Amino acid sequence: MVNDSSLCHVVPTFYCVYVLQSIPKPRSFYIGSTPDPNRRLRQHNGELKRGGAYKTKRDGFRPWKVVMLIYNFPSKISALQFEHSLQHPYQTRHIDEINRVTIKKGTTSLQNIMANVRLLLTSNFFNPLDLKILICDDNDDQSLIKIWNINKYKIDIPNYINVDVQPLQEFLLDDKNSIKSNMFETLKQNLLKESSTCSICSCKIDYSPETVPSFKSKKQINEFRQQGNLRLIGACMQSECNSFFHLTCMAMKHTNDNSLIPKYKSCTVCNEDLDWLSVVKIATRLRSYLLRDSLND
Amino acid sequence: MNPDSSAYNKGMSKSPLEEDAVYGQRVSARDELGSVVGAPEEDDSIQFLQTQMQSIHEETVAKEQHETKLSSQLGQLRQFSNCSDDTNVQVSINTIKPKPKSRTTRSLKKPKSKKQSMNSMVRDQFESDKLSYFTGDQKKIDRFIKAIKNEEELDKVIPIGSTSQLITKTDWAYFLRSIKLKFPNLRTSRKRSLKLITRNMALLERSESDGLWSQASTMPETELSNEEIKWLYDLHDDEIESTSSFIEDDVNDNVFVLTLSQNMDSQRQPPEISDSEQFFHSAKSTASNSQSLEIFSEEVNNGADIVVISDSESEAEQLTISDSKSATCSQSQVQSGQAFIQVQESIYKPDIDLHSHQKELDPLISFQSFPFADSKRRTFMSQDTPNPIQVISSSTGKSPSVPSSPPQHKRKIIEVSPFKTPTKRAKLLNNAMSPNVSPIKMIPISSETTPEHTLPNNADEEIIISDVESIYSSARSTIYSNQLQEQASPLKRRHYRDTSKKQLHTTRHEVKHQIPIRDFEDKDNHIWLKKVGVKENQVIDIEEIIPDSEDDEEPQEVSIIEITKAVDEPDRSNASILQVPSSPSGELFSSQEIRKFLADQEDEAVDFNTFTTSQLMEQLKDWGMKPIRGRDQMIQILTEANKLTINSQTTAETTTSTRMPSIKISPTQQIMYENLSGIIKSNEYWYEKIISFEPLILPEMKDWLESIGYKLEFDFLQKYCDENGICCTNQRYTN
Repeated sequence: MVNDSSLCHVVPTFYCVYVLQSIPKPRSFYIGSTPDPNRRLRQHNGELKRGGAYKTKRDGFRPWKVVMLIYNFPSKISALQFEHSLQHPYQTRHIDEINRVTIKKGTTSLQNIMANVRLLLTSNFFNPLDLKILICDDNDDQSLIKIWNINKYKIDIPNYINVDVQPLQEFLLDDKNSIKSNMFETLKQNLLKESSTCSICSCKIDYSPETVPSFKSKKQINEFRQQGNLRLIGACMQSECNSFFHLTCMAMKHTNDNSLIPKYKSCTVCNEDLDWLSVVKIATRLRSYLLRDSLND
Repeated sequence: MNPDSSAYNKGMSKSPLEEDAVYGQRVSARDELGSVVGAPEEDDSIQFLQTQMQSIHEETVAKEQHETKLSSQLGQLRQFSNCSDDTNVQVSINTIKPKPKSRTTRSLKKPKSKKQSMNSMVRDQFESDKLSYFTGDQKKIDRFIKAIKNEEELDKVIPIGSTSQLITKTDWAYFLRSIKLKFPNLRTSRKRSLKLITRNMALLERSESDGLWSQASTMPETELSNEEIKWLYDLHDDEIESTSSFIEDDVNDNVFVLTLSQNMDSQRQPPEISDSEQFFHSAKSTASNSQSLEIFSEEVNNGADIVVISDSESEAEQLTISDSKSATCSQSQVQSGQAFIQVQESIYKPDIDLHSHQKELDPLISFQSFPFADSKRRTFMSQDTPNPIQVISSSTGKSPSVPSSPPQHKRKIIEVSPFKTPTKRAKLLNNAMSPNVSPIKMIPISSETTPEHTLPNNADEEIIISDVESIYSSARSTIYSNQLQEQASPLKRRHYRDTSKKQLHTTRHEVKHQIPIRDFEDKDNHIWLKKVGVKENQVIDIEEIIPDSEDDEEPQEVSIIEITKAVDEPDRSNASILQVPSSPSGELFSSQEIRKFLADQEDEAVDFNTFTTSQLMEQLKDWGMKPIRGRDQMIQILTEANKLTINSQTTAETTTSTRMPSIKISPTQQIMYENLSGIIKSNEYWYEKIISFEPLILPEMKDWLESIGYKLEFDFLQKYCDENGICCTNQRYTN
């Protein structure tokens, strides 16, 4: 049996790139990525025996603390790409050479890392991803946010990029994700129960597991998808609306001529704003749910 | 902001006096600190506060210093960025007028750069024949140098006379250079080995030369006393270099540069040294250091015609002949050739009695004896220029007040200047010229999408179209004049398809900052637009810098655009005399027109088969693709990619509101990307992948695009994905 996440692309509920700082040696940093920063931090600090933490194992550097999270990645690969770019800011293709603040390998400081985060957020590649930033400032003097705000290299990021300041544990305890899973359940039930129509093209949405044949390989799934099946279904998350639509219909409606990813979009039924990534998140999860069911049969 | 422990200790060790002094400050600063540290009221806290203050102070000072440093560095760096975000970048356009045909043909060689390291020398030496390094030559030399290093007796290493078969003349020269590089501060006693080499070379020379004269002219060995040698090798490297340039110049066969008299803007004039002057300098050093030259000329020359310049007259005369030949080659008057001969003689006179006349060989004196320089404004009538009457005059004495005034004369006045423009530039221009024989057709440029690329449209920009010419343009004229006259002359109009009564006028504009412009040809309106090249402020070789020159120009890049336009033929009565546009009002192109050109869009099927290979390479680069081997492949790639530009429907209005303007992609690329986006949007399966942020597998995407008729390269797709925030991988599924 194939793991469901590898069958079809699913937007992960959470994936982040984190910046660690060594507490005893505050000039040492580590950049990594993970879907579970809490667990990963414990691995780095040796509290969990399982899990690789090779580079943070050296004597005298533990414990580490998370100073910064960049999250809301739509895929693991994009997070890994961001991680790599942030680890190699002197050579990444996502920072124009003339803009670089890190010219050569080995220069790290918090100011530098933050400047590179800013640069990457403004790059053409990462800018459309709607990334968010968490600065994990658990000191009382708020030195981290000061460094971020001082913005030593004067790199401006667009206003719509969300920058939160919150200690890591508080952030992780925040209930944002669980709400979405509740939402997912109700939407899934709605979609499977009654046959609904796309609120934009008025076509019938047939999302019952019975129609999905069983697949043996990913290639088969892709072929099936290319025939126009298994289209991603988005849903309005307003509890009183909950209207469905084809993701492509919605995207087509909200993009003019040749731009790809819609920037501003709203539900056609209730006119509420849609968070595109959340919509995609749920849509991809619904699809994978459908596929998983079909394989279980 | 925890108190730094070291700073704290420092505060503790302070003397009471200091404490008192700081106390006053503390009181004033206490309020500020109170918010930060929550200042305790006890006396103990005074010192604590002191340390706090000190650390804060140190921190701010360090920060300030760093910021000023950074800003200055940034400022310096900004000069190099050709595209700044500022929309009000001042773009100044200088118009360069077509230049009269120069009568000299240039075949300048780049002067030999100074050898700076052993490595570079070895590289140069064995560049042509890499294998020869391993054939034992180097071993010989290494052994030699090792011997010198170990201060062995050189005679033991190299038995004189017997080695003449083993070690060639070039090898000896190579030895000398290696030694000079390896041991810049050679002890005097060790310099005896150099003497040995010199002697060996002389010996070799004698044995090899078959003429009686050359044997007779060889320096007797007895003349090389230790004292002389010492004096000889204490020479500065510069002087030695000048001897090398002497040889270089001898090779050059052009002496004159023709420039417009009104171009002699002395303020912007880069330091120049004329051929003859350089020649003179080298000749001077020849005279004063004839012995050194005996070695070093050989060293540089490596088998050129003149090997040894000795104190014999005949050798010097040989030089003179070659140079006077060059003078006649450049088709100048016989007079000038004679002048040169005179110069040679005057220079070589001291050669006869070398040691007694050394001090009289002051450069200034001999310079004045240079007859060509003396005749400040000597004018010659040209003989064989076809239509315009050309006046040739020396510009040496041109006063600085005259330059940059509009030309008063209707006739073309050509000046023969003994000044040579820096050869680097000349070379650059040659490069810029050669591939542009068949202009590339216009490829649509959208000015809206990348404002930095094109001329900004706001009103506060400063566009100067003036008559003021830089010396650069004059330097250029010698190279382009040929072509320019063809375009401008009504007699040669048949070069173009247009046979109507139109006259072609070419204007040249210098635009600050590098502007990407494609060559453009509009046959219906008879307009040609061509980017001639990019002028960069070059670092000029030290030897060529005139000490008192004022070159304060900031390093900046200037694009030179040449626009040829057919206009209604002016009054026929003036036909015999070609008019040089002399005032800004006479400009054929306003700045608006230039802008229009730049913003002009035109969809044309480009036949890449007509391109030269270098043009293809350039095109590939311009479209953000990697250059590859194979002309056919390049053509194929470009033709395929060009489909994206042809099929454009919505190219004019580009929506970049959500996108950062990128300096990495050209307008054409932008259009191609947008068309590709349109193609992707038309396919639901692929569009769904992109809007759901599914990492694309590039090979799959390539296959799909190929199946619908777009054969695109990986790197192109990769770049497209990067620009549009599409996550992609190169790996296929391993299922």
